[in-house]
Amino acid sequence: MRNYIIRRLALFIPTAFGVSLFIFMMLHVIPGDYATSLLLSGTDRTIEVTEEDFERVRKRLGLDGSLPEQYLRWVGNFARGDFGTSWTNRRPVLDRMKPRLLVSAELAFLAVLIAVVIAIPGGILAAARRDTWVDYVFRVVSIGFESAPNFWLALLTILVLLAVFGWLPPLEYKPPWVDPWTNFQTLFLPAIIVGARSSAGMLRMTRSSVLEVMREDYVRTADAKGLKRPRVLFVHVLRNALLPVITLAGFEVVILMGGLVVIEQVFNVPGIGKLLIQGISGRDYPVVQAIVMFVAVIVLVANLLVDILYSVFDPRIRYS
Amino acid sequence: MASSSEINRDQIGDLTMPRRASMLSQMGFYFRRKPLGAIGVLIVAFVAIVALFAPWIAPFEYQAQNYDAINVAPNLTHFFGTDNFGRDSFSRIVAGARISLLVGFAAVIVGTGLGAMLGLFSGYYMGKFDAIVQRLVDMWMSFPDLILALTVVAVFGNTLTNVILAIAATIMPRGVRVIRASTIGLRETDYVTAAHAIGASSTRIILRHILPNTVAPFLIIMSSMFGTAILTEAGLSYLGLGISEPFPSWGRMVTVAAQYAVTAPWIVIFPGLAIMFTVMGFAFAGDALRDIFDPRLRGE
Repeated sequence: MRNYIIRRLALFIPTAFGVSLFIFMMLHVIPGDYATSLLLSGTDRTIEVTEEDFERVRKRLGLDGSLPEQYLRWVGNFARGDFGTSWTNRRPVLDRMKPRLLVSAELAFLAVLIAVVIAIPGGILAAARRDTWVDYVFRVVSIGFESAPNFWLALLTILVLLAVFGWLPPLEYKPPWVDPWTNFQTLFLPAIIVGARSSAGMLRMTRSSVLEVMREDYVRTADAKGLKRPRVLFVHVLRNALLPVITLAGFEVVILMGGLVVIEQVFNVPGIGKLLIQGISGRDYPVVQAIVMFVAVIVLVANLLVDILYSVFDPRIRYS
Repeated sequence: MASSSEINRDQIGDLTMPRRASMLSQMGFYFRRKPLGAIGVLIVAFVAIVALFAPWIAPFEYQAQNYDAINVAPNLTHFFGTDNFGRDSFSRIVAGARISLLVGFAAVIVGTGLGAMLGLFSGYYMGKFDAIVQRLVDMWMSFPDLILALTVVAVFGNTLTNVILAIAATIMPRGVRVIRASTIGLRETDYVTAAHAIGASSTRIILRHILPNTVAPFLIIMSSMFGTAILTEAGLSYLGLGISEPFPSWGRMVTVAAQYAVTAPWIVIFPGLAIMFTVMGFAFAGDALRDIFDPRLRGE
């Protein structure tokens, strides 16, 4: 067990470094020098811009030194929790990210909660009524949710609510401890839309997991000794079938954080995805760099934890 | 779902079916066994035909503006209504089918193609090369699809080619995974061993003996990624980083229409339906392909 964890950790570190190198290179291959465009766009052309000015601006932007130097400085600072300074408002990137991470986490959590509430009963029903119209309806609806662009679903939902109830979600986000009711009103629509979409995959997983367990010998034994169908289902099947689904639902919260970019934009939710878009449109590369890196690292950590958890449940994985 | 009775029935079905059944009856047979898959194939074929004959199907030029007919509700001249410039929504959606299929097809071909190549070599040679490729794939897959595509397009600009390449980049690691897995299985087969024994070179074995046998997983991943590619393009469009004018992309049509949604909901509804319909078609067709080529995965 310990060896397996050490081996996985040993793989994790170079992967994380690779990710950081990749992000850094992506954002530094852009032609043009930001310091030049900054200095020459705002200033009066009659003022002479000296070489020292360039140096000073580059230093303030963290663009001084060779590329490898810049990279090492960035990674070193990142590992120590210093995510750099935003170019647009000179504030530490981390300070801008923190409140938004909370918002995105809240939204992701609500979405997964809704997904689980839809997916688990739905998946069980689809499995129990396998190959009947119930199963087909669930399959078609879940693929339908996965096939529709979420911003479109969001727009339609808003339109319907407006037409039928004359109601629009509040436009300004409030933290739950300030105004829980407004907070709920803002987040429940995006949460339903994201949740319905992630429920699709979860539903199929529940279905196949339940079907798999139903083929086990101990389920046949339970049937054979005359237990009632619901008792077999709830006591013998679900206990074993839902474990992987629930584990994955937990990690879906983490993984969703990076998948909320579009929906946060639609509902004007000030989450991490919205900050990323602001960073991109304002060419605020320290912000972009930090968010992309952060999201990639949490996905890597979540994957690492899933692997380790699975190896705890299923010792065969450790030896392969 | 591969219960023994079902397999038997399939085999009997194959035996009893006349060798040269008419195409119609074959299609009917397929329809009864895999209704969703058949519907998917029909949808894909339908969208492909629309895209192919777009200029002849569309009653209006997709860019033609008519200021006497702005935000007109659907009627017999304008089946899906008109937009804020008086452009015919139906004609724009028909023209958009070309763009969506082009983006989807190009991204999927580039993404799965490059991915398959890496996967073939990675799975065949194993060892150090494979370890390196697999770490690269792990890295690649740690970026959420949209964030990866978004960053690529933001850095390099949102031209048609860049959007396609950015979407291809999100598809590639999946291609590597799938093709590598089937290559690893194939290299243990007797005919590969036999080819080794008679002294065939590695390149020859990969190209002549392994590659042809990865066609099935290749087709499956292509068709299931096609829908994802179209959705990613729509997401990029919504964020203002999709394909730029003058191409009528479905995703951008919804995005631009959003501000007129209350007065002219039809210009929001129809392009979105077109996306959903097409993506669903590819999803069903992909499932059906998987069932046909890989019965082990049936019902998952």
